[in-house]
Amino acid sequence: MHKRLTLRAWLSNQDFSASQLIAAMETAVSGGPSYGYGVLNSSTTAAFVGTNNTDGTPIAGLPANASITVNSNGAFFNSAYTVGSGFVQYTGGTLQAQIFILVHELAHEVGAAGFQPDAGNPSAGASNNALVQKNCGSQIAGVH
Amino acid sequence: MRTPQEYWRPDAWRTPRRLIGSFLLIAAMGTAQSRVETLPVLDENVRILHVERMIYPLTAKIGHKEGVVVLRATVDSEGRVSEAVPLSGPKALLKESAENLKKWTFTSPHSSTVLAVYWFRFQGLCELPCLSGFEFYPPNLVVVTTGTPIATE
Repeated sequence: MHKRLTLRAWLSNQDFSASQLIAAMETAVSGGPSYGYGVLNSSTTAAFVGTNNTDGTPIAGLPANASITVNSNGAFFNSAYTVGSGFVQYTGGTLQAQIFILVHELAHEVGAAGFQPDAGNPSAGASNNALVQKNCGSQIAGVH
Repeated sequence: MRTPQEYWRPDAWRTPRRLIGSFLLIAAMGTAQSRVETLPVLDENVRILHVERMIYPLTAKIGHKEGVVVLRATVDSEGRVSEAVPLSGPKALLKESAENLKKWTFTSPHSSTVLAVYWFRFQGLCELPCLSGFEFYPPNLVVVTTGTPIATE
């Protein structure tokens, strides 16, 4: 029998939950939170998590303790872009778009069920966005 | 009956009986302290019944903090840890280590004092969520690992 995961369960793994991670992000780095924003050379990337490229090199200009990095040129701030899944698309810069983007990144951080690495892989990104919409769509739509 | 204000009044500590009691307490603590510091804790006297798994502390994981924590545990007559005191290590890793050590149990009180060493280390790259590794090397070495996350969008 297929059992649908609750949002809390989906955004958790055997070690920690998204809410525990958010609390840790606030205090992990002295002098401020571990999340931030920066100008990326790709406007199609709204945000990313992690600190190193797949070849092991650190991402240039990124602190070693960065958790979530938002692109100041992407859909988090810019209404020229949209974010979502299928027919549900949120205009960039809106609260719904920002929450959608952050839930997507948190799902990476906790390894939410079905989520896969999607750096440079648009089809994996679309599949991940579909999971965000499936598991959190009603909550995101209800935010104003 | 005394009120809290009476207890906290500075001159309430100046009575002779309290002074004598304080000296005796300090002397007893000094004796206990020197015994703990001079006696080696022999591995043969440490018999563990249960070691609690722990994850890499999230704040340390995000803050990329690693290092070695050394703790001293006091074991009661039931084999439970009544106190776990960090002796050295990075500040970001002390609290969770002590909390974990308090969950260990011992078969019998062969030794009332146990030393435990926790080694927290980043090893290589990992795909998120970069879950923690946990290894225990009897009688008292724990290795907790995680990795540096590869970026994904």
